[in-house]
Amino acid sequence: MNKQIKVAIVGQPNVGKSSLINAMSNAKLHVGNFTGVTVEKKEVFIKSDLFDIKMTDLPGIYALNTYTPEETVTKNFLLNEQYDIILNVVDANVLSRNLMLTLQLLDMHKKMILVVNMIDEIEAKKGSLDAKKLSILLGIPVILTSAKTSQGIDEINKTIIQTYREKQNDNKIYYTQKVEERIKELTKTLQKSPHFKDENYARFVAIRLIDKDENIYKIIHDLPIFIEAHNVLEKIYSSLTTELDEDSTADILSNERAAIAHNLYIEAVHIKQQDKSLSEKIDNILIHPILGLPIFLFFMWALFQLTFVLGNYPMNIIGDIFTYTTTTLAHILPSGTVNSALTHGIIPAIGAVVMFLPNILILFFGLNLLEQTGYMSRAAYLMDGFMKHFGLQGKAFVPLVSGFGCTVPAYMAARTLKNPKDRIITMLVLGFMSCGARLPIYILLIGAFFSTHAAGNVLFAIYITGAILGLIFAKILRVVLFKGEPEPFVMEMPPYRLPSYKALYMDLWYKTKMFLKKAGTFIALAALSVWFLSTYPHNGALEKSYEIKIQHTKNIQIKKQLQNELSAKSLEDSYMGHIGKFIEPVFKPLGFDWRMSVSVIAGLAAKEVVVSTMATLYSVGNASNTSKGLIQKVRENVSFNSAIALLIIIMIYSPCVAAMSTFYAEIPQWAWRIFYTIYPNVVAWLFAYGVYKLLGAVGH
Amino acid sequence: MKLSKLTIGANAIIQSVDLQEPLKYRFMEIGLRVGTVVQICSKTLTSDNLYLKLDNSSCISINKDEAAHIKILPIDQRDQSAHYGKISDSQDCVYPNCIIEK
Repeated sequence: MNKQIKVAIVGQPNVGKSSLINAMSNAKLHVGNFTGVTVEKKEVFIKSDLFDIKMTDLPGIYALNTYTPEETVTKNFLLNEQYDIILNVVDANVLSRNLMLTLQLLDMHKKMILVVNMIDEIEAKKGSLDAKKLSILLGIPVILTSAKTSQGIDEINKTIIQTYREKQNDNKIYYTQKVEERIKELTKTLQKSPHFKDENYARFVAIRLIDKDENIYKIIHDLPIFIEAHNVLEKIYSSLTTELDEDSTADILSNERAAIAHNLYIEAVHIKQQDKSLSEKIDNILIHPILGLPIFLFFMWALFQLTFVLGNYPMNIIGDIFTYTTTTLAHILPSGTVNSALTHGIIPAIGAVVMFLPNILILFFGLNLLEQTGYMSRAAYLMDGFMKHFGLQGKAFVPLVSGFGCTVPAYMAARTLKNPKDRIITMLVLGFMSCGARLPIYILLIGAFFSTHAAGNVLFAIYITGAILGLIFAKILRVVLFKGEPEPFVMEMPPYRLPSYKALYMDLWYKTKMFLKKAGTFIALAALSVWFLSTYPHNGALEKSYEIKIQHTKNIQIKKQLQNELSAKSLEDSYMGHIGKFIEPVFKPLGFDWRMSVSVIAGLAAKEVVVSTMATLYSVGNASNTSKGLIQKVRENVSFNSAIALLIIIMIYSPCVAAMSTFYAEIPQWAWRIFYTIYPNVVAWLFAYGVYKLLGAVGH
Repeated sequence: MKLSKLTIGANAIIQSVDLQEPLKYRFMEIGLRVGTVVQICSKTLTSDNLYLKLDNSSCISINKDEAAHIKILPIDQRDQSAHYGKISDSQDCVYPNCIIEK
């Protein structure tokens, strides 16, 4: 077995760490052009002839003084985990600022490599970066790369192996004399403790203490050296701030690092001052004070129009394929249990879900473009002022929009919010943002009750209504339960970038694979269960009495009617019929029959299951069994008012089990977990009931 | 003068960032520090948010309320280039004793 080299990938947010790993390893890590794409550590393994490299992609971190929960993940890893090399990725466009983190990492005295990414963008501006000079100045290897063009990617593996084999270089970065004297004094004091015998580690701890690092302070707090070190530290705080006329020693170290970083930048980078960049020209339109918000709303409207209109064509084709398959199998297979399970259970259910895959992919494609081009941060900037009135900060916009794709990563993206109150409010209203899995249900109901002409607008209205309801509830939560102002909005605005077609393709391919896998496993199993529960137990006497009636009837029309009657009665007598009848009273005020009631409850497992359950139940209870026919069956069996009530229930009630588990994992307080388990369902029912009654009152 | 009062297109040098920790350090880490040349590129309709360009390279967005805690010195457009290279000149460096061992 090859020896393993453990590499920690560290860098400021949005420098292209995940893109770099994807380019190096053919991994499929999610990428985007905004801060906070990676919020948890991810591991990727690269095999070479002699070594296996374990790369740990860590969330972006501006400095070792952490600010948001996802930054703490990185800091904890750097301080507590075992690794051989730090691969520090920096953005060539903002090198000076990025180098400030590099300098903090150098203080750790670990083997380190500096990867200057996005070098193609500097070269495009006719600039250059002297890697050799930067390497000499920093005392570590420097590689110029572009994850986009694959420039320098091959060199990274070689340099990792070379650095692993070589002895570690001495520290080449020193602070000003006055600061260095204090670092040495504190280092010597710390070295009296057996915990800090290693001079380099003692120096790192001393620097972090002078930098007012609370985590490090907590570490020494429990050690016997604390009293002596604390006295020295207090003296340093007082003397340094007085001598250098600063408020805090953290300010002093930060300013010194900024000066060093700027000098390094001036030494290594040669670039002419640019006139107005393309990004600024685009921004003149997209973030225009008056036009900015309408443009954003137009983009979202266009996306939902495309999702429906464009998705309609492949949707019909897939529907036809499943209908053909079901009908053919029904004729080919001998009649019996297998035939019934496949043609009334599994295939119509899978077909009813898979036919909406094109719509889901179009939605994901649009959201991906939003993320990769850099427009997401602009939209957050435009929305912040508006969202603040509802007790949310603009940064919450990122997880909220991500929620249109999938609620699970959206919950995790809320880690980028520093203030715990902002974070909990955002997570509590995230369910109002309809995820991609709810799309099939919307398209099914819109297709059944609205013209193709209005469909896109109705879909957009559903999503906007969900978002508005989310904002209203955020306001209520802020006023009633989470008093206080949201955290101030600070966000980096990355330059606009053309999306990586490879990343787009990989992302959509990955989502397609996962969707089909889910349809072929979880949804198929759910459909089989629903079929079994809705087919058994057989009522022999009932079947016999109908068989006699059918045999004695010559009229085909009456024969068909009797067959349908038998199916419907058998379904009502089945296990599922009994379960449905038991649940029915809860949803009866909304005009739901027991089949709709069961489908809603089944949707708590996964939202796609609502459609598959409806497909099975309306198929078992009907003589015809086609996937595409589900829209027709819904139109025949569900009233318009109930359909709208169902839309509202789906829009608001609890997300799927996977999303709920993520919520529980992210929010440790039981009170919030219980609250979140109950309140969306109560709100969904009340709101649906109100609208159902209102529609009835206006004569619908 | 406060950054919140700077007009769109005008340039200034940051003189102080008078915010509470840890927000102050977050601002410093993303580039809002003493000596940085800042330009307001845009404001939202309600002027609640400012879109800033720092040292003619990176762009960030902050609230007007926080911008009110940043003191600035407006500069003439024509003098901008002189300010961008300021720290590279050891005579003008804020911390002239910073050592990079060559």
